[in-house]
Amino acid sequence: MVTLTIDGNQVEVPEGTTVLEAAEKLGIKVPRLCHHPSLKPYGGCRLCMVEVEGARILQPSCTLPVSKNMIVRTDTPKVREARKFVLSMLFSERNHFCMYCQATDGDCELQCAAYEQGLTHWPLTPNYSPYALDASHKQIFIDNNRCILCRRCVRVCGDMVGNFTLGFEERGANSFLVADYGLPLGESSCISCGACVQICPTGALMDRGSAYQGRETDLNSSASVCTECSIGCQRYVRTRDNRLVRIDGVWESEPGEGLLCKKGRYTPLEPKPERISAPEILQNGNHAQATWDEALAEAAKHLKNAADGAVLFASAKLPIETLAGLKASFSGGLRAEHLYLTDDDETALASVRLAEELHGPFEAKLNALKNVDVALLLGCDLEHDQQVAGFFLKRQVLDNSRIITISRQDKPLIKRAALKIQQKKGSSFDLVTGLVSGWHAILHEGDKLAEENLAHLEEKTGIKPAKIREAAAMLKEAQNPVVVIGNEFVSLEHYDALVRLVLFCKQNEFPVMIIKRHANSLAAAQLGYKPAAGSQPAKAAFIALGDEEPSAALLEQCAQIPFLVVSASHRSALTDKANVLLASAAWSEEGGNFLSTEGRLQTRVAALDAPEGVRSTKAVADALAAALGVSGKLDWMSLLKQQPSPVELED
Amino acid sequence: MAKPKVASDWLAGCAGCHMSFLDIDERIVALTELVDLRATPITDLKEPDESGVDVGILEGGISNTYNEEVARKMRARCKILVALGDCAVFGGVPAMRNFEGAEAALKRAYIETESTDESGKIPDDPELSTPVHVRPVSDVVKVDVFLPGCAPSADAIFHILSELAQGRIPEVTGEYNDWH
Repeated sequence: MVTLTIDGNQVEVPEGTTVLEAAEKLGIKVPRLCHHPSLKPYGGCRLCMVEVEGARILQPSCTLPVSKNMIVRTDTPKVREARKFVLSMLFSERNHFCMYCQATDGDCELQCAAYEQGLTHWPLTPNYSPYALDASHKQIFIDNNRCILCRRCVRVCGDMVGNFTLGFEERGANSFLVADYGLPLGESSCISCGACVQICPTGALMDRGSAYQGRETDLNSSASVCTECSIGCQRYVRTRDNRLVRIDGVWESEPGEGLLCKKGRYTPLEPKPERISAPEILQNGNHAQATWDEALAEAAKHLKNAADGAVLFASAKLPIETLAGLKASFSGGLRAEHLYLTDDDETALASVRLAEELHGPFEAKLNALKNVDVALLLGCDLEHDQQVAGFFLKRQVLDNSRIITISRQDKPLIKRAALKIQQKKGSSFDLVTGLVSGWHAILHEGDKLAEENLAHLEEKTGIKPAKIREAAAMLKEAQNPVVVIGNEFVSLEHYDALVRLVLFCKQNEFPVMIIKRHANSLAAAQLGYKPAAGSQPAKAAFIALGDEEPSAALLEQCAQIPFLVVSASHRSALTDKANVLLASAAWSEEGGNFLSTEGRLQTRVAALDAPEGVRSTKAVADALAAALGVSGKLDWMSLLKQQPSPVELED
Repeated sequence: MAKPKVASDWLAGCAGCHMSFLDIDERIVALTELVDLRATPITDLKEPDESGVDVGILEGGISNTYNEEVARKMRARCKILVALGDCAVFGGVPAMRNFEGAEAALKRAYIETESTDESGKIPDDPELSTPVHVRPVSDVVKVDVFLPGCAPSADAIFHILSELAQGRIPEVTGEYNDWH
C-alpha cells in the first residue's frame, strides 16, 4: 500500500493505482475527457493535469502511478489555467459549436468540462476546415468535425470488443477517425455493437435512431437486463412518452461490462409486424375479436377436451414466472407433462442432465473467458450468437491469446482464430475421441491407443491428425485455458460425447462452459421443458411465443395439431393459424426473472406500458390456470434451488 | 450618482437575444430605475451616444464589414462591452457559413434557391458591405463580459444587467453559463 496526500487529505491505495483513481477514492473528481473507467489509461487529452510537489511540470493524473508520500494538488490556479488552455485548444480545433449539436446539456462531456472550468467563451478562433461526414452505417453516424481525438472509440472497439474496426488516419490535429483503413463504416468490418457511440464523450459518434429525440435527462431509463441471448448483459432501456428511444449498456456491470451486441442494442428497436391488440377467435376461417373471458373459455374447453393430448410450447425467451405459471397450468390442470420449448436447442437440457449425474455444478463462469491464453471453442458461434462472450475472447488475441475453433461449418467460428478445424463427417463422439487421443499422444509420446485413434481420425471425421495434435499442443502449453461448448456440438443424441468431453476437461482442470441459447434456456430446462422436436402428436396445443419469429420447424409441427391457442405480441405465420389468439405483452412491456447461462438470476424491468387490452405473458399464464380451474402458482425459486444446476446459481 | 447608460445593437444574429432580454418582463421597470437605456435596435435612438455610454451590449457575430464597423463604434463609445449570446460569443449559427465559405452561401441564397429563376443574381451594389469570415465579436474588439446562450435566458440577462447597474462586473457561472 502507498500513502499519499491529495488536496491536503491523506489516502492509502494499493501500489500501481493512478493518482486519478486515488483522488476518486477521496471523492475528488479530477476533470477528464479521454479517460474512461472501463478503458486502460491513455493520457491523451491532458485535462486531468495536477500539480505534484517536486515535479517540474504538471502531470497527467490518469496515467501517473502513485508513489510514497507524494503530495498532489488537483485544484490550484496553475492547474485551472492549464485546464482552460487545454479546453481552448480543443474547442479551436474543430466544429464544437454547441448550438447545432445534438449532444448537449449533460450529454456532452466536452461541454460539461467547459462549464466545470468556467469557460464562457473560446479564447482561440476555431479552425473551420470541415471533415466529411460518414452516414453509411444504418445505426451509427460519424462526424469527425465533433471529434476531440480522445480515441475512446478506437480503444473500446479494440480493447473491449476485440473487433479492431476503428482507427485513426493522419497525425496530430489532422487525425480523423476511420474504419478499416478508410472504408465507409457501413461497408467496414463493423459489427454494429454500438460501444463506440456509447463511449464517445461528444457528438462525434451519434446514434442515428435516437439523435435529436431528447437528452438523456429527458428520457426515462429502466435499468434492466438484455434477454436476447443467454449472457444476460445489463442494459438501460431508454424511453420517452411510452416509446422506445435507445438501449445502452451499463458500464462496469457484470457480466457484460457495459458492452452489448447488435442484437441487444439495435435489433429490439427495429419495426415489428402488426401488433395484436385484443384476443381473437377463429370462426369460419376468419379471426374475430373476442373478450378475454370468451377467448380463455374457448381455449380452456379445447385444452381440457384434449386432456393428456394437450401440449405446451413456450419460448425460452419468456420470464421464469411465465414458464412456471404455464407449467403449473399444464401439470396441475391438464395433468399433462408435455412441456416443450419453441425451438430445438438442447444445450441447457444436456447441461442440466449432466449436472444431475455429476451431482452439482461443473461449469465455469463467464469471467473465465476474460483472461485466457488458449480458448477451445467447440461448435460455439460466438461471432454471431452470444456475441459479448465472444468479445471477451476476441479482445485478447493481440495479447498472444489463441483461439481454437472446431465446427462442422466451413466458415470459421471466429475470424481471428489461431487454429480453425472443420469436422466434415462423423459424430461428436468421434471428435471427442480424436481430441482426447491427440492430448494423450502429445502428453505421452508413443501412446499406442492414442496413435491408433489418431490414425483413423481423418477417415472418421475428415480432420487431419496434425491439426488435432496442434490443438492439443496448444492446450498443453496453456496456463489459463478454457473450453467453450456450443449448441452445434451439444445434442441429447450424442450426449455421451458431451459427458466424455466434460470429464476430460475436469481431469485436466480445464474450465469448461456450455453456452445455452436463450435468456431463459437454463431455467426452462430446470423446469422440465424439452426441445420441440421431441413433442408427441397432440390434439391441442398452447403456444406461448416470445418476441422471436416462430421457426419453420415449429410451424410444421403445429400444422399437425388440430387446435392451436397462441399467445403472442405480434402477428406471424403462426398467429394466422391460431384457433384462439391471446394478445400478450412484448419484451419491453413485461418485467420478470431470467437465469443466464452462468446461473445469474437477473430481473428485467418493464420499460413501457402495454397497450390497453393486452396482458403480460405471466397474466396470460395465470388466466389460463384460472380458466382450467387450477392454481397457476409454482414456487419456481425453490424448484431452481433444489434442482442440481450445471453452474452455481447467484442472485 | 447618475444612472449608468446602457446601449445595445445587433450584428449577425436573429434578434432572439433581444427578445430574451424583453422576457425579463416586469423586471424591466426595476431595471429602468437602475439604468438609463439609450440606443437599442428596439428603441427610437439607434446609435450609442457620441459622448459615450457605460455599458455596450452586442448581439450577433461579425459576418460583414458593416458588423465590424458597428462593433468598433460601440467599443469606442462604451466602457464595458458585453457579448450577448452564442453568435456574439462564438460566432454562432452564422458561423456555419465558414465551413462552406461566404461565396457558396450567397450562391445558395440568391441563385440556387428553389424559388429563384434564371435571373437570380448575387447583389453587388458598391454600397453594400462585404461578407467576411464569420467571427465572434471578441475577434474584432475587446470584450469584457461574455454571456453565451442561444438565447441566454432572461434570468441570465437580468443578472448581468443588474450586476452592471450596481457597478460590478458580473460573473457568468452556474446556470447562467449555458451554451445550449
